[in-house]
Amino acid sequence: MSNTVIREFHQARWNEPIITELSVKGERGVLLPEPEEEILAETGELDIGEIRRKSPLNLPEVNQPRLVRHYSRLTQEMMGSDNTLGISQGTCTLKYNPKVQEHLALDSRIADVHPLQDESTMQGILQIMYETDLMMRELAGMAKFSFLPTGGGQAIYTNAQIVKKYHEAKGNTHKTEIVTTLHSHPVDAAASSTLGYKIITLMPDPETGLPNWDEYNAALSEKTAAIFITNPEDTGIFNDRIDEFVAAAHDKGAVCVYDQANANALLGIARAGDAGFDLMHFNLHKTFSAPHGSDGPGCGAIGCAEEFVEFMPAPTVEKRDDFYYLDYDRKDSIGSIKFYLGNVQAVLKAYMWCRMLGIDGLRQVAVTSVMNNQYMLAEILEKVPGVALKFDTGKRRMEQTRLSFEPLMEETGCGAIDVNHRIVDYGISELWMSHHPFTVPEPFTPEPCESYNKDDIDYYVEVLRRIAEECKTDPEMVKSAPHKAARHAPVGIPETSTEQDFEKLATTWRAYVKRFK
Amino acid sequence: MNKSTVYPYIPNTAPETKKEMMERISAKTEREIFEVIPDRLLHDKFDFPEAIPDEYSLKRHIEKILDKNANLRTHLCFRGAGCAPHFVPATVDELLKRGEFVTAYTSDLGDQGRGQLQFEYQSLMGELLDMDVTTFPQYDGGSSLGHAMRMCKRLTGRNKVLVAASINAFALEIAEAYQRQIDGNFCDIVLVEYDRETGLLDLADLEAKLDGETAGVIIENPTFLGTIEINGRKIGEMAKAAGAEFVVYADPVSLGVIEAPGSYGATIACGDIHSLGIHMGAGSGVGGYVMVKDEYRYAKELKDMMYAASPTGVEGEIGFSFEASFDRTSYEIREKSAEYTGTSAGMHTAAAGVYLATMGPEGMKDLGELIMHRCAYAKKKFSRLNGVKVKLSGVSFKEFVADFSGTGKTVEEINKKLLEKNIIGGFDLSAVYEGMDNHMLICVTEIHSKEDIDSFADAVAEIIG
Repeated sequence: MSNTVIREFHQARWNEPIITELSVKGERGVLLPEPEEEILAETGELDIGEIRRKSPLNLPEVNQPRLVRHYSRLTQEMMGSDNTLGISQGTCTLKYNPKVQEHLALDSRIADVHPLQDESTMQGILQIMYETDLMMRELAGMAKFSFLPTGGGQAIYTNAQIVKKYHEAKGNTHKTEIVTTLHSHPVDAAASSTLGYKIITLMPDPETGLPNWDEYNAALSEKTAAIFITNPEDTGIFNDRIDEFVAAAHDKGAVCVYDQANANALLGIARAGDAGFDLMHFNLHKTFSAPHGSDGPGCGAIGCAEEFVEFMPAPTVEKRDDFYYLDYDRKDSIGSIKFYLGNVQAVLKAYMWCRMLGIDGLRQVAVTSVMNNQYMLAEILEKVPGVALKFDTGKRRMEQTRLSFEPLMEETGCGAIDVNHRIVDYGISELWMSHHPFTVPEPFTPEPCESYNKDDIDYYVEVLRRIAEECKTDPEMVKSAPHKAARHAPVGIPETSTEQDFEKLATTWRAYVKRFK
Repeated sequence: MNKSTVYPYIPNTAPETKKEMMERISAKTEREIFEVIPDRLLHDKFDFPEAIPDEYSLKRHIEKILDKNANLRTHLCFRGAGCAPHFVPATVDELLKRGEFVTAYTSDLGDQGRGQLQFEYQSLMGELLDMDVTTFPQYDGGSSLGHAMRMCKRLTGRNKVLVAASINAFALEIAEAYQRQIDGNFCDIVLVEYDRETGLLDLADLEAKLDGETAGVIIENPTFLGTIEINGRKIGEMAKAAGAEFVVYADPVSLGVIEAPGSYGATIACGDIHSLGIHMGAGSGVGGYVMVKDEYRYAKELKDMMYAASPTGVEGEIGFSFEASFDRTSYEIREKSAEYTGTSAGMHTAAAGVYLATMGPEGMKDLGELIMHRCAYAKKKFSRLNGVKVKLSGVSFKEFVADFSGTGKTVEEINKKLLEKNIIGGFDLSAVYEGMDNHMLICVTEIHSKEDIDSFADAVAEIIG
């Protein structure tokens, strides 16, 4: 038994009505300035004909105190890394988002700047972007960065566009295939496929969990436009032949793209460029402490080797004689991929985080993340019943670990989904399981990144242990969880997109009323 | 390296804890925990700026840099072009300060409050647009437009979309790039002329270009150039008669006074939510939306995740989940999905929901009227300036075009001079739209009082002499 004391938890449960139901005719949330009399005298009646709105505008009429109460209550019914342990959400790296960064990013000097202002009036922002680029180059071993993509998926898509442009420039019309691995993020396959590439996905070797060297070489051909690969993959297993994988792809004239959205294990340790990669990306909202913001916007910072700089999206941030400027005039660029300058606020946060930690601190991020994970793995395997480590080659894992509740399922009939229902009752968000398709039964993938101390990790392990015990002693209670969350599990939301299921799909209140009222 | 440094953001660098943990994992050195990484892949010589380890000094360092940015506190700003200075109610700013919200991500059962916030955003957008089904946002209006174009092709099996030439040039560029595949365009884009006098879509040109290969007709309303497209319904009927989808790229802030796209024939609505109370953030404050009617064939073409609601097991209770019809998305079916998806702009959609609830129906109507009147006033002021011609007749919304060719000064010169008076002038259309050399796109919103507009017009008058 552990000495860790589990605290009694119950999430706020306000059962707030949908905002529309709070509407009271005539109430106002805010007033606006009136058009000045002198203006009205000049403008008179403005006739916009039949396009003037006649259809009802069924927005709620709610007074301001009630609005604030509503939203305060709703935010109490959330599990962010500010109020709960974000250890469950592997690959997502729910780390601490430093307050000083959040506060400054809301300052008018960045929040109320227009993106198309003259460069001379936004030297501060451009300086932050330029200097963050320089730091990222060092960390990745790359020649240049762009911060335009505002998510990891968009970063991968942008890199795939660069791959396409690169081959077009070389006249490589035969390059139509992308090779990726099943344990790389699904968007590596999906974003490339959106550009029309044929996707070849390597299944993991059942023993090592890694792509098999011979199968990999068999998948490569003159048709290979690029490889898109994650390392360590989402299993937490590091491919120690990664440079050989890169060299083999280069031998076929393929571009090597590294999905380093989560680079937490390797900051200040190893670099994409040193393994030979041509293109890569970091998620500033995972690795570099910008918040996830309840699903974005983030920043997928893309880095490239010298040979690819000309293809980077426009604009790039440049510096001449202490003046920072935007270069839109790039003839070989893939062009524009994002409105304006991307998520500049996320770049500011990453800049601050890097400057505060310095290179030694960044290295400690990696050391501590990996140490935490190896520690937690040892504790889980010793203390939590019903857990198996797949691909157990005796090698150390990196920043996260793919585990399995298969033995628990066999013994108790409760698996990863049931544990997920119950873990919320302990004030912890659901375990991220695995990307699809699952290669491990009943998967889960915790990631105890550098923000959590030993007590946090011990607490987390004790919660898992308790739930595993509950699965034995009271499986029905586990399966019917959550009991202490803001709401109980919805029972009518369709998981599939069939025509039959569409009859139950309500993404708006008007559809809900139609279907469920 | 000073190994004894304890980092506030990295608690386990406290020496005693670290020692204990290292022992637990049988590692004597940091190198050992990375033993799977061969020496040849390690790197330890970084050319990196010196750390600013304490919070106070870092804050000072940053503030000094940020001081170099002009902003709404230091300057009057009349620049829009898809990202305009707007009023942000305090209720919205309050949400952005709630840490539980800002730091949340992928919990479903644990984040029911977040589910409700997003569901409410989706619901209020549905009312605003007169549409029924939507998803998580896209990255910006450009990516929402690109997605809408691809939907048109999949819905009709046809290859070409007709797009009003007055559409947001930034959005069009992104959407165009999004059609390019290794084997040609997913969808071909053909521009339809607009009338250079009125700014309205040229219906004769539309008629001439509509054919059996037309997958969709796409207009922006109000247009990027500020014209209210009063013929929306007619355009929709023409599209429908040709068997094409009708896509309206709408600025949601206009919809208190302008008819909902879904009420004048749009089968797909898309655009950017920036105007709904999102701070400009030097361009950080953008996010896309795509919304369709309550029809299966449309809903199944949406590429992104969805928050949906249903009853729970408890009588009278409602619950939320983002795993609704998840098997459309690339998270589940990888390259078999129609298009990829990923983290986009959830913080902004939630904020937009708070904005719409705060404004309410009367607020949105008042806002629309206010913007139209102030814009009309500014047009009058500018039309009286020497050598300045205000273009595009009809009522403008939020933006209007002024031609400075007759002043002997370029827009660039005028804008430079305006900066000396702490005014950020309009957007220079010269290199962006055909036939718009020396034209300025001037943005007037609810934040611009009569006094602001007068100062701006007076400053311009002084510059052009």
